[in-house]
Amino acid sequence: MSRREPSKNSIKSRSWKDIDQDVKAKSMSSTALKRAIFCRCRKFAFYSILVIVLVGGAKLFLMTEGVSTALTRAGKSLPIKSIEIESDALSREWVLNYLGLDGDETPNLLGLDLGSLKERLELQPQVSSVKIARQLPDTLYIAIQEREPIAKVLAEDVERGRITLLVDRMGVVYEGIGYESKRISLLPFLDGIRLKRNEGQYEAITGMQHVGKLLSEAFEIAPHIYRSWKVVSLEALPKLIVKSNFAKEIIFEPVSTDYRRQLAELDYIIDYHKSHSYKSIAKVDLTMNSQVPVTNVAMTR
Amino acid sequence: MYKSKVIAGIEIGTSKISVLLGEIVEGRSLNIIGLGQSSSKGVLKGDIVDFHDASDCVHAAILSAEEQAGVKIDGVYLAVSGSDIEGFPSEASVNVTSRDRRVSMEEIRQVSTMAKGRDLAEDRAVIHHLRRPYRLDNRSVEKPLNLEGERLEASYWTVHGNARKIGDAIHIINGFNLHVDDVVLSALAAGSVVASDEEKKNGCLVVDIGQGATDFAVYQDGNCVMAGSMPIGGDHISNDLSIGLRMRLSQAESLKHRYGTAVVEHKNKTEKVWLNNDFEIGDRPIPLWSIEKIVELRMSEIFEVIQKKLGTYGRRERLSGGVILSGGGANLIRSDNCAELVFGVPARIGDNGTMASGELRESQYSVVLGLLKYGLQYQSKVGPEGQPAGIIGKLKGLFN
Repeated sequence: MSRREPSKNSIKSRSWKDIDQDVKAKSMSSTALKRAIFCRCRKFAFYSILVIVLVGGAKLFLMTEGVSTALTRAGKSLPIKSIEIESDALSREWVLNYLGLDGDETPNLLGLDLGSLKERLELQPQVSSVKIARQLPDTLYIAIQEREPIAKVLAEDVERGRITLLVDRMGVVYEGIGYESKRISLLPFLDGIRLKRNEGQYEAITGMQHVGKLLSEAFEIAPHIYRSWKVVSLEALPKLIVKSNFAKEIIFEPVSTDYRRQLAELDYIIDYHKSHSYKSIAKVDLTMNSQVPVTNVAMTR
Repeated sequence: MYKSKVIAGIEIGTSKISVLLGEIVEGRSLNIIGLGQSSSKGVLKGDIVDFHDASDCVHAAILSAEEQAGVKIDGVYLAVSGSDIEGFPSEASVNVTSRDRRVSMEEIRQVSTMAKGRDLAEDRAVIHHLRRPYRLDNRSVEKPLNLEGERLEASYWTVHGNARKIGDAIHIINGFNLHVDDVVLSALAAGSVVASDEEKKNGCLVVDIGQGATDFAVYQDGNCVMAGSMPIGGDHISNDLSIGLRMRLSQAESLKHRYGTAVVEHKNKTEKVWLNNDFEIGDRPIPLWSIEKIVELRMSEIFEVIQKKLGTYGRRERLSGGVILSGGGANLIRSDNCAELVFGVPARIGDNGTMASGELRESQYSVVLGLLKYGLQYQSKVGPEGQPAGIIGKLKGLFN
């Protein structure tokens, strides 16, 4: 192989890659020309579609911008004319005052933050759940599900002294707001428990599911007995001890089904004592199925 | 969804143009999906002499391949050959300067750049820099990184050609609105298919005999260490037959195909064959021995010229892997025997069986198959798509 020596006018080694690959139309064959035209048409179509998409997108953006501005404007012209409130004990005034909706300035329906209103209401221990909705054009709807008290408990407060708290079926302890005093006076007191506070709230009382069951069944099937109950003691859990006008201690056995049998036995004993004009009873033990030991007051002396 | 790219291997030969399409899937596997061929016009001894005629033929072959495969080509790998392809060794050396005398990546880069940086004449363009093994303190090493030594030498065989002629071939492809991804010397493309790894390691010579040009590549220790081309091919045999036996070139071509053999088989000088074999006016008997002798002499001459070009690389002990023939010229009867006689080592006709089956196993398709193999290697380096990622890139891909 002959060896090529670099000539005087040699340049730094050039690669075939430096050869320009751009091609002019006149050097194309007819087939290639057709292909090139077709390819350019496709490129043109691509860029046209791109431009259309961009312009369309920009227009759409501006339109939505207009819509949101219009909504804001419309929102400003939608003041609340009525507020519908559904609740049990909490009064309308209390709710409006608590939420700050009772001022002279009429709030804007669309400007209200419903989420924060709901959160504020649910901070109240008496409130179980809240539903808030806008009812266009001018109504705010608030539905409050409250806890149902089944018993009350006495507690010592540093600032207020002795206070009465309410307890619901789940054992949640709270200060009742807006309840009628007659309704509260009918509730029996809880005894034999120790209230604990955690971050400003009372901790739930355990074992309340049995108490709730007993009280609701007594209220339903033997209201005359229920009315005589003054205290329900949880000190001998799982047994429940009820202190009433009729007997100093009525001991109930916790059951998974219902308390009907025990209540029926108690009712019979009460009737029997009344019919024989006996004095009040010291202790009725309903935990022994068919045998019910009854201790009279005289016997305890 | 898998990513694929359709590449074409194109060989613009003196007698025919071959276009082979391959689909590279995920940059890893290659499926051969189409073949287009057309007779060649405007090409002489591997060089383009009529741009328009050559363009028409090449474009017809590309179109035929695309129609057969039912896909559009994404990139082209072009084989080059011809009278102007030349090569020279270029060497450089550096001293290992680090305290522990271990070769660093920077020193390898530096010596490689220096070796490849030799100046060329203004009209020349580099086609390949074929790297030979490095030498570290006169011992041959494949990867010198972190090896201990004092002097590192790098050596390349630089293959270059006439920039305008290479440009003509590229512009024909560009004329079909296609981009040439890589240009490969025909013998290198053929060698990547017909020569086994073992042959390349032992040292072998690949000769691609075309109609107008013959290319060659020498492999040693698994690498191509020398390659080149020369403007002699099958045409010259026909030409000599035509002059020596006084007949038209087409008649000589026909005789070569019918009775040509690279080593004289018939010793009886009186045995004759008919020129046209049609017993019409002008048909005449021709001595068979004369035909065979002319073909043998010309074929031997081709191999002898190559041997001379190879210099020390053509020595028997450096070609223990043998000689492998490819291209249309290799189809001449006993061409392998002729090569054995000249080089003194075993010779064989190349087989594309490792890459293709059926018609494509013939040696005339070695170059285009080799181009696809090059394409596969290139794509696995740069990635399957070679186009920008992202939504815009994908959209562009849809429209391009």
